[in-house]
Amino acid sequence: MAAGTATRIYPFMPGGAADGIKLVSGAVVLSDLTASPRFGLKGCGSAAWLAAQGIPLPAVNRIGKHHGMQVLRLGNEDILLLAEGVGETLAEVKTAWHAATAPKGYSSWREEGWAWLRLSGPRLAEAMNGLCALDLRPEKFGPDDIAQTRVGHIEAVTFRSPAGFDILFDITASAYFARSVAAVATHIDQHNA
Amino acid sequence: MKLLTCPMNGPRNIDEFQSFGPVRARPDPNATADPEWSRHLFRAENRQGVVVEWWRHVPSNYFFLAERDLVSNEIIRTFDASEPRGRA
Amino acid sequence: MNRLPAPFGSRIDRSRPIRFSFEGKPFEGYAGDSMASALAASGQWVLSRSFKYHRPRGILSMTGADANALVQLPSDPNVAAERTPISEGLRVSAQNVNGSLEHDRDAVMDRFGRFLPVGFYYRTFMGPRRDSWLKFWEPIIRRKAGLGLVDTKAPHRHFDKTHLHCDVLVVGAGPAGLSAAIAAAEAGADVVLCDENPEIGGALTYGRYDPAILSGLSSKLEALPNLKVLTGTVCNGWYEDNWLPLIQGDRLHRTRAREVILATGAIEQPAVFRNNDLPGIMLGGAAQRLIRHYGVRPGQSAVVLAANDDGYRTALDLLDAGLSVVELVDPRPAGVAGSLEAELRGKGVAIRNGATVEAAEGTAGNRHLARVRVGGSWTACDLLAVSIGSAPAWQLPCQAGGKVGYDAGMQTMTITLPQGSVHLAGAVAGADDLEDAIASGRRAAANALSRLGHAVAVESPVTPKTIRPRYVQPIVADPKGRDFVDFDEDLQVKDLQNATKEGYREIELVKRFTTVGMGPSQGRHSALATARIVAEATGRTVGEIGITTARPPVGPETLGVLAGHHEVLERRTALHARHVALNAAMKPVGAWWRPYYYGDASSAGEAVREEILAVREGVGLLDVSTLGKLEIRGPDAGEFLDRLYTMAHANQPVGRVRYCLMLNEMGSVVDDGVAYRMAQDQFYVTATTGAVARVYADMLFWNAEWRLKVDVLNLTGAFSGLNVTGPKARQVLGALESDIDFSRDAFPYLSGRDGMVAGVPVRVMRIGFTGELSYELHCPSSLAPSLWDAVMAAGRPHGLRPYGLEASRILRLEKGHILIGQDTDAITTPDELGFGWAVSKKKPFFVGKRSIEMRARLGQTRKLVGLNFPAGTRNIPGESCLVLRGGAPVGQTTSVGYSPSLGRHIALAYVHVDDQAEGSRVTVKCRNGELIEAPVVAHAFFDPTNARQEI
Repeated sequence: MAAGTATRIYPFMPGGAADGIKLVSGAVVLSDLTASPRFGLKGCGSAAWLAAQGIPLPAVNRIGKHHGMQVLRLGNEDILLLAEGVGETLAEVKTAWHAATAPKGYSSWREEGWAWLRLSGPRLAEAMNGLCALDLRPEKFGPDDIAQTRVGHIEAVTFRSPAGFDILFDITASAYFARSVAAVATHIDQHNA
Repeated sequence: MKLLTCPMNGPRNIDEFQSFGPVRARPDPNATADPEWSRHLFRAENRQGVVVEWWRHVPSNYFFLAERDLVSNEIIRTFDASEPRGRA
Repeated sequence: MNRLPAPFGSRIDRSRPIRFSFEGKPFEGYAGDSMASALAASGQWVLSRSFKYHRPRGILSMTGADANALVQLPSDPNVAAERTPISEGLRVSAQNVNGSLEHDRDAVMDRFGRFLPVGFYYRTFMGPRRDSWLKFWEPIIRRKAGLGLVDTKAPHRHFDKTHLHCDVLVVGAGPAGLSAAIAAAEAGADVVLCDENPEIGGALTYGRYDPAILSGLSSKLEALPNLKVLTGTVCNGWYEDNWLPLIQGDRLHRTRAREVILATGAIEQPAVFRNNDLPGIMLGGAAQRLIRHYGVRPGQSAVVLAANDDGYRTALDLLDAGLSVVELVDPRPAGVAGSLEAELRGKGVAIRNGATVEAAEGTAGNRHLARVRVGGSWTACDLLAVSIGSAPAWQLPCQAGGKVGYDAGMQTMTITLPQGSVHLAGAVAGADDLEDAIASGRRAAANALSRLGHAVAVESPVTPKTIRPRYVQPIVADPKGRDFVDFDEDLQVKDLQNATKEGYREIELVKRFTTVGMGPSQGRHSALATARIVAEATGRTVGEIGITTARPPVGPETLGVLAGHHEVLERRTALHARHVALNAAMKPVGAWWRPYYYGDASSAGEAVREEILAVREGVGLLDVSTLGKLEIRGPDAGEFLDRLYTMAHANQPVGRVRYCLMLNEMGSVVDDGVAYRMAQDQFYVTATTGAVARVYADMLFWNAEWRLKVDVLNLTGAFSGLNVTGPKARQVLGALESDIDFSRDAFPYLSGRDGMVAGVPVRVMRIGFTGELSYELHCPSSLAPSLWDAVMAAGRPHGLRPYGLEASRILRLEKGHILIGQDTDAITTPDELGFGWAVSKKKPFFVGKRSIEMRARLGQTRKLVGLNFPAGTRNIPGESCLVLRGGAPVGQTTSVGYSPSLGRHIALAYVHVDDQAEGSRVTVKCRNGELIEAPVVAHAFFDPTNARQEI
């Protein structure tokens, strides 16, 4: 399927599914990266194909780096490339993949299925404690770790970013997730008032 | 809340998991009489002792096996389905 | 005023007076006062009326654990007056009173006590009629008994839940807990220390101790950044793998600790004698708390009943607070209290050894203590401070697997925990001397640290300094009663003795029969005495009797804390904003928001009718994005679907679409959808909206068992679906820029194509839920709004109308298409649906195959058919109305609706298998009980030959 020419609309954009839902800011800050480039492969052949492109693959639930991209290993044959700010590099990988012959894995469509939000702000740790049951203390959860868990009561993938935590989750729950984070931020404000 | 150690994701609250019940021998459907087939469908053994169960870690959709003591509820070990299932 | 000068009153701020009311009367206290202390300061000692006999009750422990001191706030029942701070304008009232606290009409109950023997509920209120309990007795008793009132209009409060992780959790910040937490944190562990009190220190804050001890511990604590202190925080339970709820006001910390140290202290026990419940009789610790925490003088003229050192220290504190201590009564022989005894005598206090308090008497209406009887003679006093012993706070340790025992030699209740990640420290472990407690805290920390892998010297076991056996006050029933064992439930010694005479000899049975320990204090002040009474009455030891099982919660908790805050889960399709812009009536369907119809609520019926007619006569557009969408990829994809679904898929040609029907192992229909073979190794499969999560999980499970070369991907959110349907659908799509040939010959019914439409990559399937010519366009969700806009624009000249769920429901009913879960139930077989055509006879295996064969041999009893209700039928049955045959139910209606296309009501229903032929007449029982007859018709009410969908 060739790339389309039509306009892409993501949940928090005008006309998107979560249009009108505010992303919280203040002590807790939520920002939207859903429109940022990413590409995932899943299924038999994915790891071998990516490795053959010279992309070093980390262990499962770890993050590797390649030419400015983050390489998230979500499973043996489930790899997601995040290319914040390095869309051209990713585009080359995608072009190569489309042109390649099988076995090369299958697209996991994560860029369509998952929203990508970033949680940050002075009360970040408190906010994450409200949203997620996991032990995310720095000594327990490092910058290269991935947690496939629940955040805000829904299934999510989370990992550290320089600013805070990045969270990937079901894109159809975007409005719900933004509301959940806003509620947690409100409780933090009240608790510390 | 009980912890369950996922072989892929590590120890997690058990509410991140979905149980798929004990691993059961599946009789050959074409070589099993109706009464035995009914038994297979509807009769859970639930004997005291250790069972091997299928579990799914829901956020990662990873299926694995766990040995659990039905009396003490202790989870003895968890392992990937590709590993041998018999008890050491 | 009963206020003492500073330094008494560590919790109060005398510069901030606070006005509040109790029972409508104005009172004043200071910031930091609890309701009970502020009232006591003003001479108000009666706080409540007791549960059964409506006797006046007041402060017992000052810990907030008793029913005696529960009060009503406007929006909060059962508030612990001993622990809850006052606030400006707070309106407090008493509970369980008929009239007022001062003049309780039910106080007469105290004189009729003999008509309310223990267990009387079970005997008295059984008749005269079967429903007498519910209709007559229960409402009366509800009014008479019970505690506070729930305010159903209470204002909204914010509760929240959060998570906390630590290496070591220490519960209780008394001397043992403090030393444990400091030792653990000094070794580098991440420590959380919680205490229910507003400050750390425990007994050090109210007991007669050198203030330097607490300030020394505090300064160490403050220097440790890895030690987090949570005061005002109740640890309300212990759950598996060290999961503990810490409740801090309206916030719940769900805490996971690697090691737990329980330094929960000991619970001072009351003495049992006649009228031991009078206001003015309190535990020694309560008197000390009133003095040191709140600067409240607990009386004027005191008698102290002391069987341990704490009692002597209390007497000294009372002297310091300016009370006259008339007498200290110590049941033990002279000389055991050593230097404390000498100190007290030196201050002129008379000490009477070998005696005890035998009874008390109150002022008018038993509103306050007037005098006590010791050795047969009466002594006037307005305070009796009781320090005769304590029980370890067993609740949390027992939840963590601790076993309660009784050390007959030492005469103490003991708790033993198995070796593991939970440790005891301080008084709960029997170390109630200050130095012992501090050492036992350090030792518990060392044990926890060594389990965490820290190299620490394991400290030697603590040998308690107080090695002499404790004194145990005998419990003898007073002939006139009112010797209360359980204040919450107004239970006296004889009530418990009678229970054992009735044959309830085991502690768990005694509890259920008498309700002992079931009240708000949960046996804190009664469990030990009860065990002793039952042991005595049944000739066994206290250790053999034991105490009842301790379960969470440790103390009462607000439902709001448990509920926390939950946003309602909602899922929105990528087209949500498009629907809203078109004035759709959005309704939640499960978690999804879906357009029900487009237009104003005032013309809903009209809108639905027009939407249906648009599809039947022109063209409609439905957002089907909520459909489950699964991609099955890999060399074994066909084989995988062959095993999961009833039809054949391995031989399905690329570019073709097939219906798929899923059974469970029992042979019941659980899902349906379509499978589009996009490539030899790739299927795009739809599942019903409500079932996709389970279908996906089941697919993964079977794949884990079968280990085929298959990858299953859930694309439900990643892809959106638009159904363009109606006789003019082809014209609309033909008008769009596309590389797909939508003509009948190039793109026949039940085939699929992928390509571009209006610049959007799409997967298009020709299927027909509505029965009209339909193209279902699926595309990546970020492009769905663009595709929607393009289709809407292309459809405008053809009168295209977006339609909602209600129109869709009718359209499919007209066509006789079933909805899994609505028209099927847990035992529906394909044969019952007439879906034999959808079940492969050639495949050797698919899930459910063996079972439907077996069930076929059992004989089919029912069949899903169409029912026709001619225009003008007066009474139309609802969904799930019974279908009767010879008066007996044989099935039910599953879908009912008015078909505008046909101009009459139609339904799907299960009927007896012998009535399945078209033209049979079946009887349906309407909601109002009326029986009506309806003729059976074919499933497809509309266009039975399928001419329309295949054009």
